[in-house]
Amino acid sequence: MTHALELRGLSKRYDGFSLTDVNLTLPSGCIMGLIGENGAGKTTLMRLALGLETRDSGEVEVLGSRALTPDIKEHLGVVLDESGFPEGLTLRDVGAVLKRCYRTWDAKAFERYARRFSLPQGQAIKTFSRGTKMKLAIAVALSHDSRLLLMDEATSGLDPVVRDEILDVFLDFIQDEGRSILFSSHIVSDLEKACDYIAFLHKGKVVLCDQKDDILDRYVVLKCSEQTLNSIPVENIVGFRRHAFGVEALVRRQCVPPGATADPARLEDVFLYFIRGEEQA
Amino acid sequence: MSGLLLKDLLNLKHQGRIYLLIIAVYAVLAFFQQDASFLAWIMVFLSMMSVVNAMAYDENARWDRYALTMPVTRRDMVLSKYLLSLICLGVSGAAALAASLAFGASPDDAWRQGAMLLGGGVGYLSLILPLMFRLGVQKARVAMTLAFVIPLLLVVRLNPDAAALSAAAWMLPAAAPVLLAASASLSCRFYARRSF
Repeated sequence: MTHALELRGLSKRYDGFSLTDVNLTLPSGCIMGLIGENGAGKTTLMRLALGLETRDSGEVEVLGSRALTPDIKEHLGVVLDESGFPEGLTLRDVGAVLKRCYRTWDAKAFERYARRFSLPQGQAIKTFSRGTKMKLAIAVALSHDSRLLLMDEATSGLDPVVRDEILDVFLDFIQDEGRSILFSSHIVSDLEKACDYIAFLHKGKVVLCDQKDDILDRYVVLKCSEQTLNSIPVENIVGFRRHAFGVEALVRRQCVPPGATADPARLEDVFLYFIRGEEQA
Repeated sequence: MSGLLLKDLLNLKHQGRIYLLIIAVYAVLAFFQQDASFLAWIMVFLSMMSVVNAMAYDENARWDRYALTMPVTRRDMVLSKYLLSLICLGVSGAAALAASLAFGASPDDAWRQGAMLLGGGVGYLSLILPLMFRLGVQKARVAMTLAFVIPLLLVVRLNPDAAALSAAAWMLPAAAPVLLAASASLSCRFYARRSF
């Protein structure tokens, strides 16, 4: 089966920032969360995948195709961090325009999502709040035959109730095995809730990319003395934090010394320790 | 491409009400002076500004980045603006002609004036569209102003006589398709290389 998205050796250099040798595979039917701190390169990665920016090296395959033709883009649903529509348009205008842009535009689905997300009828987009603009973009992405959703910080700026609703919508969307989602965010709790795969991006490099459940099984948060920590081989320690009473470290589960206190790792822990671990190295 | 064109027309409809007001004011003036020259000029000028405004609205909304993820090509994005230009100039040109005839100009004069205005409009847009596609509207502003002012100053300086004006009235519309085609080709090339 073709993957929904494949990035191989993707690199791009700017002044002061580089995306280096990014390898990422999103299998069909899965949701992948792309976590990274601000400036890690999540948006750059998306822009390179979408052909909005030319890459220096590497390959991009979207829905099995190396060329982003209109036929392929028919099946892409993209939500970026701004609405994108000229602000004088109303909801009805957006529907009329998109009906002529997408062959598979589903006006009824768009109306349904507009109602579900309480999008204002008859008002210009310039009056919409940021959250409402995002909801509009999400409604658009879901109102044609999308097989791959690419969401760049789509839920940032939305309140928790709406974020929860949107995640439910994504989980509905993914019920069809032929559909996939790549979802970038720095709100780790959202990704933990919805994703099958997680990729950590840090300073332009993918530092971890694996199934979420495997990641959470692999690591634990160890609370112990510095002496105990030093007894663990360095390659099994991701990162650590000093406290008044000892250290806290993210380590591989099988390396926990007998009798030591180890808590299950949450995704946020894994992410933070990976970032810190890079800096400590 | 029809979707792209529709988006511009709908947005201009919402945002362009003030232009209609300006035209109405000049129409009243034309009525009292029984001379539609300035009205004709204003209508063509505002139609050119509408095309620039459409590009500016797109830039403010970061439309290009979003639209290019849809089943449109970069070529579609460029050509839809040229199509918009033709529509705007066509409508304003016809309106200018009608206004000139309505307010007492002879068919010859009305035609000559209309042809020169449209020729000027096509010339200006042919020059600034590639600039805007290359640099974006904000960065192209200075160049766009110069592209307007310099030819105007040249015309005033050269002070062409009636014969030269008659010649221009035929040459400009004839040159228009060539200018537009060359301009569109350049715009496509510039836009193909841009990053969003």
